[in-house]
Amino acid sequence: MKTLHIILASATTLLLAWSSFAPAQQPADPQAFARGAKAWADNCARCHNMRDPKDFRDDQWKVIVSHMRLRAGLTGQEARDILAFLQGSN
Amino acid sequence: MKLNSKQAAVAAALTLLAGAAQPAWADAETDKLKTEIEQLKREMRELRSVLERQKQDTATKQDVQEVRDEVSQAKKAGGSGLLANNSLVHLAGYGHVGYANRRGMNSSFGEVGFNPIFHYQYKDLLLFETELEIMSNAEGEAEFGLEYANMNVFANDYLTAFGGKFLSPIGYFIQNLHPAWINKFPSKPPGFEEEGGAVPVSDIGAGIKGGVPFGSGMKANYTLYVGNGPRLELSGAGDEIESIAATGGTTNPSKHKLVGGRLGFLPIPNLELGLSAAHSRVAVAPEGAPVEASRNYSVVGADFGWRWRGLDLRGEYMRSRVGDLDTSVAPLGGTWKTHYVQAAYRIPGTKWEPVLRYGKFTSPHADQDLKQLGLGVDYWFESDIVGKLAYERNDGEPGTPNDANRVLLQFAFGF
Repeated sequence: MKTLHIILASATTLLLAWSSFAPAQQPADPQAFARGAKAWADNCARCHNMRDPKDFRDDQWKVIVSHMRLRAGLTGQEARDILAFLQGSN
Repeated sequence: MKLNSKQAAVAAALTLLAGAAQPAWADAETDKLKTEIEQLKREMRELRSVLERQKQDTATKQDVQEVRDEVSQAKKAGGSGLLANNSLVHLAGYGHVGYANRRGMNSSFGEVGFNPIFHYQYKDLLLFETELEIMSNAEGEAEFGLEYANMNVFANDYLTAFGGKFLSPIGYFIQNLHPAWINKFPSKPPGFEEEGGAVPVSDIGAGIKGGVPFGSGMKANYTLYVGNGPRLELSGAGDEIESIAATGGTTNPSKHKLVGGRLGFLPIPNLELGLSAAHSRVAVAPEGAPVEASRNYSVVGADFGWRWRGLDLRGEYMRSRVGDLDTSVAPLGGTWKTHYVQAAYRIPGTKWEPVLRYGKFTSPHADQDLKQLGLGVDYWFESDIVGKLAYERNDGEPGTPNDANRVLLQFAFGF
């Protein structure tokens, strides 16, 4: 068990070191809206009814999508695309 | 010019008249005019003063443009119009109220709860989230619980590091489906309750999670974590393990850490298959006695979810096992296991959604066992506001509450 803990801790440390802690600002992506619409339809309904983009303000969607990134196992790109779709539809 | 005698006489007369004293009525009129002039001067001064103040308070087009420029610069500095101040806070949550009528027992409005959720986000880097659970109990008092409170750092597109108290990643229902406005049935499946079930509910620890695309529409998600793990609850007599306390505590008597995780695979976007496992060592801590030696604890699970048009089909299996220990006051361990399958169908063009669920929970204690068939119907007022009516056919040990059928009514909302 101790060995497993060491492996786990090492793996986590390496992954975090490899990661970029300051995601770079992405240039505006004209395809983000379309990809976001598909990702929204594919992922949100896995657990609950899909919410109307007008249910929340743009700044609220920002936090909600981050929360759902954790719950639904979304990639960062999927989260940005879904946010672009929700804000663009709002 | 020389004046003649007549002209000289007239001039002398006018000079005399002009130099004569003014009459009394003329003095009064002059004073009145002077007073009015002074009054007008004062009013003029006041008007000038007001005008000056208005000039100072009124924004010109130039002023407005300057403010616009400042806002624009602030937005650029923040990288996003939404993150001009870098920090966002958000309040969400859900609530529910319910009615239960168990055959042979009293009916009551027994389920009243409110779960506020607080989020704090810093740029695209960090998200803190916490959920409280506030429930009304039989004595009319409020019970408070901390469902989770954890910090998440978005390291990159595929990895998020987290730490704190979190819903157990083992399985799918607890982490994703338990909120009342999401769960399509008024009750949780057998064995998925917070106390005395077969499923880990929450833990305190740290881990990593994320999603990884495989191309062609395939995707996977993962969670790997280390936590304090569960504790063991003894029976009243103190010679049996009554249940596994599966909500995250700040200590573990065995001083071992649980290592676990879940791997989800989506071969197509509307199908998810998941496998979960965790392992640790647990120890009995009799009241007033030293903590015993540790024994094995493990949990394994599998889940699936599939959607097709209005059909939502899902199921889950979970088995928790506590090892035996001859030297313990409760030498026998045991196996707690549960499974359920659920089908829901949203009737096209309507707000109605019938639900059918079957579940079975078994434990080392016969009075806890439950086999359940549930039939219900949901009415969706909005996408996040639902009314549920359901009937449970419960089959447990005769004479126990688990053997009594129930009618359930619940109203839930999320925001």
